[in-house]
Amino acid sequence: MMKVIMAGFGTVGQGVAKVIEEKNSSIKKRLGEGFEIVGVSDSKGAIYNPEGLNLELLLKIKREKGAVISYPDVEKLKSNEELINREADVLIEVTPTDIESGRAVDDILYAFRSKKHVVTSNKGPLTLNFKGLNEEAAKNGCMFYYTATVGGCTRMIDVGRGLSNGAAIISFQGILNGTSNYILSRMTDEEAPYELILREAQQLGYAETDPSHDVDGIDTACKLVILANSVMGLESSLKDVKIEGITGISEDGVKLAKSDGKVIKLIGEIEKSRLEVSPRLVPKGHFLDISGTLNLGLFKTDFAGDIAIMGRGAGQMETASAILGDLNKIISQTR
Amino acid sequence: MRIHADLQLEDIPGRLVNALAPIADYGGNIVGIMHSRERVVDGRITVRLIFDVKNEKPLKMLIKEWEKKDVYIARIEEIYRRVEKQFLVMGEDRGAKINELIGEISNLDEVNVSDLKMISREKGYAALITVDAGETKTLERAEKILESLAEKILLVKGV
Repeated sequence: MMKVIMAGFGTVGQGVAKVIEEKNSSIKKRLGEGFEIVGVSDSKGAIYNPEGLNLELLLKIKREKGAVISYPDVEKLKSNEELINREADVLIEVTPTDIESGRAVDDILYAFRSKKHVVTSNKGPLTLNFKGLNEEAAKNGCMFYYTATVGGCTRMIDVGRGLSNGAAIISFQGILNGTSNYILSRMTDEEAPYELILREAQQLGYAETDPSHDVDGIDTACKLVILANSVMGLESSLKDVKIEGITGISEDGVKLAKSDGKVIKLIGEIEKSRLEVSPRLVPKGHFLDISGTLNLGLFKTDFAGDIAIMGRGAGQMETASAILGDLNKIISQTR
Repeated sequence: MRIHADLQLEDIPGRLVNALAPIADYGGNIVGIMHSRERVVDGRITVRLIFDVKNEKPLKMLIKEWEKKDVYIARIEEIYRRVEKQFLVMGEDRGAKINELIGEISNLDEVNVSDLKMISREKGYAALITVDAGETKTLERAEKILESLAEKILLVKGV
């Protein structure tokens, strides 16, 4: 069994536990080996048991007591660093995205130095130190996968890498933030003001209480940086992205666009070394005219023409599915 | 450059070939040809031609050649392939500066503001501006003017 520790046990972490619980026996059958979660941390502390944790019990305790340290008869630890120091093959890093502190960068680097492969859905470390993390992984002979960071379950990074094997990617345009796309879609459908639709999105759970990362374009910019670096071979960082969000989009602007057969979409764009996030006018019926919380990536290539990929960019099980896909890659490549 | 020419030729066998041959001689390439026997002026039929030539020099030589060959040129002009882009501009005033902005873009050589739709209220304005030009590079000059105002307005460009 491949021993896994997980830093972060919020929505995504619990989703990963659920998909492993559900799929482990079919993975064992197909790949000859499954996963055993031996350690988990959340904001209150960490637990470790080299014999493996009972996932059903772990999920129940988190749900009922709110903290993994309430799990009985296991070693209790105070920090991620202590957890990463324990014996395991893989670290799943699923703490919330933080583009300021760099704490997750340190945890991932520490995991590589202790010869652990890493799978993450956290955009923060990749936005802050893409090159350093990949170099450290290579130096220690570790695998590093982060499919879930861009486009959730759509595997946009894998698709882009696959395409770049047989054709040059000339440019990329994408809708990479479901919250902004939901708000703009609803503003168009209802011809209602931004503030009203934002409140609706918050009530439905599509927008955070502080939605600034989504609506100011920061989340899309982080994803562009990861995509540009991992698929198009750039060495970009967040400061290289020209960013304009959607907070200034007025009800009248949306109406005018609609009257002319257009919709407004928050588009992330990579062309040569230019990275830009901005609201753009899109003709109705265009590839980029997708509604609701969906994500879409449009790769323009020299030989293969235009390739579009669309799907759910966020959500517990969607993200967990992308992480499970990365874990399976590690099993396949270590056998 | 792409040229549209209406030629009037005597309705005698061989006249059309006689008129078309010099186009290739001067490096041109015929894109389209329409032969109208119904439209006869002074005993001549009209042939509508679309062709590409490298620049003004071979075009002038071609026109001289046609004159020598007794080909009447009823109309000849360059066809501009226009490129178009839309910009949605939003601001928090009543949009008094929009006319000034449109004037500035219209003053650019070979740039045309082909459509303007606007909503203006106390709380702000939105203006949808359609700009066209002969080529993308020219259009980028209009885009730069709009971008230079980006601190005061929200500019939404077409994809």
